[in-house]
Amino acid sequence: MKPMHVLLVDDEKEFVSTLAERLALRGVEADWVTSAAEALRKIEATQYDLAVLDVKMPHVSGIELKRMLHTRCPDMQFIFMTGHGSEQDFHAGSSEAGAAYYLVKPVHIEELMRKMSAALDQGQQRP
Amino acid sequence: MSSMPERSSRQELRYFGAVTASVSHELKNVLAILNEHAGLLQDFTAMAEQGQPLDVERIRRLSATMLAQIGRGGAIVKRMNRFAHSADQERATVELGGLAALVVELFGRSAATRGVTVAVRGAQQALLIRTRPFALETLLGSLLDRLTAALPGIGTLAIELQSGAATAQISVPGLAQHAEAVAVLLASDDVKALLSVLHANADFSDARGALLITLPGDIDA
Repeated sequence: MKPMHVLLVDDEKEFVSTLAERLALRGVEADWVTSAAEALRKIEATQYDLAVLDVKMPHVSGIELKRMLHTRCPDMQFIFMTGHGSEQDFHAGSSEAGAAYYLVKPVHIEELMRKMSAALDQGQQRP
Repeated sequence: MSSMPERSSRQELRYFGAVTASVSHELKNVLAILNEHAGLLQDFTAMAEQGQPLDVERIRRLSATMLAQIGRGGAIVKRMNRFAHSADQERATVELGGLAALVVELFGRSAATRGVTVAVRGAQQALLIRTRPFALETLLGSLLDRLTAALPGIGTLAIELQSGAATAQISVPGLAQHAEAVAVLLASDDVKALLSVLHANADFSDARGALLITLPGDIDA
């Protein structure tokens, strides 16, 4: 696994903090926040390779947040997660991130690790 | 053109679908938390097998969170069960405060997503009415959904309950600045259909700045 710095954003604190801890045990440097506002503050101080975003969050959705983050950090890669699994969410998430970078909760950590690697590889191939 | 009962039935089905989707989303979040916590316990076990010491306090906290999430899941299922059974009888005697509280609880996640808090301010005594429980839940749920969507940033909405002479009244105050949005809402054919099957009236009170819904105490009377 290549070294990477990841930002996790999900309004379920118990979920996102534990996911960060499990990624850390696998050698991934992962910070976590529970809102879009915190995510935007976080990227002011830290450079991230990749953000893993919950699709449904209060106030600002993961899709909207991705657009905001992309404007500020064009090289950042994105993976979406959702608890919904609805067609509507799937289409919104997959068209924003690409179907390969979309995960339905509960998340399998090894699958997330694979997708993070793939997203970074794809990012590095861009001119 | 569909009749009022047909339109109302469609609305009720749509509302049932929306609530089910929201509940399944909430349950998925609970499962996701349990999944990560169980996964972390597995990680710790694997580390212990390789000779690393177990942090007993950390494990105690993880299990406490898992138990809390199981409690949360149980409460979600209980709400869903009450909601599902409210469709058992087309007409029944219900306690209006309990019914309104259930609708508000079911709307909780959508409300949070929109940054809105909804509270029920009940009558002092149990307010019993004979009505169509599922149609009434659909009406209240749809009104909350449409109001909070039309009025982003409204912050807090209250549902107040009062009994009248052979009637019950549900009011949503704090809408003085939003009379136009309420008028659009009440002009909707879907809302009209639900009001019709409930034999209810809805109006906007300029004096109180409130949406008022008046229901018969007994729909069969």
